[in-house]
Amino acid sequence: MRKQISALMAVSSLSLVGFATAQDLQQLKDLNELLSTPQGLKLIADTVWVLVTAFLVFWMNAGFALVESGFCRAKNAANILAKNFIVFAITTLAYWSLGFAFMFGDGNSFIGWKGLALMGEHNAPLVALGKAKEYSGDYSALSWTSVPLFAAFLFQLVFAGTAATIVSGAVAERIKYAAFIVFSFVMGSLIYPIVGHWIWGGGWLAQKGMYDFAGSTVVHSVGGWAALTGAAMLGPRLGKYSKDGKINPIPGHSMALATLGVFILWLGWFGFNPGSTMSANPSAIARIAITTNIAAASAGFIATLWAWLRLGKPDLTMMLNGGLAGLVAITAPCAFVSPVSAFIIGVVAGVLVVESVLLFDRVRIDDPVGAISVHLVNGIWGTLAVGLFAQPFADLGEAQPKPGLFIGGSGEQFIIQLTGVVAVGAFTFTASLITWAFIKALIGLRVEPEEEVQGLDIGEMGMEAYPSDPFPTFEALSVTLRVEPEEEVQGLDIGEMGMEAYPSDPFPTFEALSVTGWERFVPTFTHQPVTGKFPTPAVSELTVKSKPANGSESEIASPSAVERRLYSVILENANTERAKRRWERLCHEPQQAPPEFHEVYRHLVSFDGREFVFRGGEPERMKRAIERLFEGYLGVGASVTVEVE
Amino acid sequence: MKMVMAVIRPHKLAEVRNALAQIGVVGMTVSEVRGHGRQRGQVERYRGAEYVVDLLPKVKLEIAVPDEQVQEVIAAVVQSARTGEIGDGKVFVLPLEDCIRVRTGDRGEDAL
Repeated sequence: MRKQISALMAVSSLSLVGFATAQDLQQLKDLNELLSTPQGLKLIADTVWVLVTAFLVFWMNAGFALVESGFCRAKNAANILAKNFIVFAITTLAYWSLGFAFMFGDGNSFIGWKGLALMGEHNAPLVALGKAKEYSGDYSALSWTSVPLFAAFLFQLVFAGTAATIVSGAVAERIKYAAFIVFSFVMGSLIYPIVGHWIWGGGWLAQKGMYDFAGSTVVHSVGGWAALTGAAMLGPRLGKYSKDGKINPIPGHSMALATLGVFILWLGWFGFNPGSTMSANPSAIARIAITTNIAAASAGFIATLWAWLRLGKPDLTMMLNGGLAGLVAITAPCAFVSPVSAFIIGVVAGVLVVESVLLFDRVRIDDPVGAISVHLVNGIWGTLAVGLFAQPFADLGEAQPKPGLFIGGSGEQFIIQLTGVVAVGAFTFTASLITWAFIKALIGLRVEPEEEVQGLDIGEMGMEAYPSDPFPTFEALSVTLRVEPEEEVQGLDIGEMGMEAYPSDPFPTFEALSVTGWERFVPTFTHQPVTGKFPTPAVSELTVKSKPANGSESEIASPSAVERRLYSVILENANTERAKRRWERLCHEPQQAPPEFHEVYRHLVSFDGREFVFRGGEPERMKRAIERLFEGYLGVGASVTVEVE
Repeated sequence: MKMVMAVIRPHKLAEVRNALAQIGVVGMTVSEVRGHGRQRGQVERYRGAEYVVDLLPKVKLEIAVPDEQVQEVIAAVVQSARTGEIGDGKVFVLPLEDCIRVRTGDRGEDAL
């Protein structure tokens, strides 16, 4: 039965291929000639630009994977990585088959429907080459960009992937893998495309004059709203909030991965923002790259300062979230603002993200990576910032927002932006909430408590990101080992490379460690520097060996025999309790102790209230020092004696 | 035979090992442990939330020692591990019933 079904599927897919696919350049016979014209060269530059920036935005998936896994615990790492991997695969399928058509296909103000599965017509490149007079096709919302349909599609697809992957951070460490997969499909095929259609697909918000250049609303706040509803419906991780109102930190397992991830995202944003020109417009893409970078830097810096002042230390996680917040906030206004405006936008973003991380914890919405604070809050801020800071630029052509409130404009654009924010918020909040509820009813949202405690790697994936069994059982190990198998068991790092990728010696031997400044009164026990291997002589051999070979050794050679001698100073007939208290006091406040204390402390081994055991130092000197230290504390009839072994 | 178990500050390990080597003690087992004495630990923060780390990292050495050497070993450890600050650690002495060398089968003090 299975065989017959797969044969049927194979035949039908073959017949699908037979249908006409997107026309544009693929049918042109004299293509090469055309491409060497000025218009052709521009088309090539535009297409290469769109594709390269699409690749950069695709690479942001790696950034998200690293940030999210770094901010979460090791026991959930494989699961989080799997979510990040599968979300792009699912989004590709959802957006290719349905989403792209809903978003950019011709339709009405609410949604598009022409050109499902990329099978519509699109002659924008022909128009750019001069081979067609005007646009004819199913994706007129993309007629303004000259690139081939597939290039435009890929670029838009990676944006959809970004929106979907935002969600995975907020729902991490407790969501069912299957639930996330289903939600991602709905996100990529329906929720994201509908909002995108409103703003970029010629829908009603675009008609109203709302501007969102690279997607602070379309991508980031859509992802953010879905993340918010998801985190709220799931509930917080076990142990995050105590019943008495305490917020418990659940530290991430690798700040190195997280930092690397943020850098990768920052790099990817150089594709995200400048690429949204969808044409190789030299002055625009350069300006956008600059505003993007400045916002990231100012937000990262201000978040650092703000966290430092607010929380006492520059928490690295806040710094990283800060940089990302700036990038999200500049995403909508990037083409429309000056570098100075970008700086200000970043400053506000830096403060907003820190405060909202603290706020969401206070209202008990558990967001392990700060996705909601970064993407939702700053997505909204960035969108509104267009209405505050937008100024006209000649290189952007006709379609530009009205001047912003702070640039001498009226508040008109701001109102339009606000309308968009509210409308998108209402829609996305509701749509995602319904979707989560639907999934919860069908297959459940959250893993069982036992699984959450054990870690989702084992529970959901059946494997571990960091396999924890240090004692793997192989039958081969019981075979008598010769040299090569031994090296295999020890690890080729040591055997072949003479070093380790993950150095396992937790106790590196540094002489420097013996000088820390902690030792207030106990000078370092002078010893011979030991080279590499520790000697294994009997005790008597050591004393014989102390024949000085050079000057430095001779200092140590003679005292070594004296240093090792143990002897005691005994308080006879003394008040033991008082003596013990006196000693405790001396140890506790050494700065106020008489100088004899330091002498005694240096050579002391132990004291039980009656007997001081010493090693090293002169017995008579110690006796006198003890007498002076304990004068008046020993009581009548007491005496101090020395006992040498 | 006795087992001397010492819990010390991690950064003091090199010094303690040197001091033990000087009195001829080379064999030992070292483990990374966490613990605290009478005092609590330190306060840390993560994204604005405070928590107390009261299990502080320490290093534990276990050294099997013949009876005659016990006092010497204690002295060597105590003097080299001491800094004068709270958290210096403790030394315990446990009775050791027997000791066997895996490679040769030696038993008793010869195997120490």
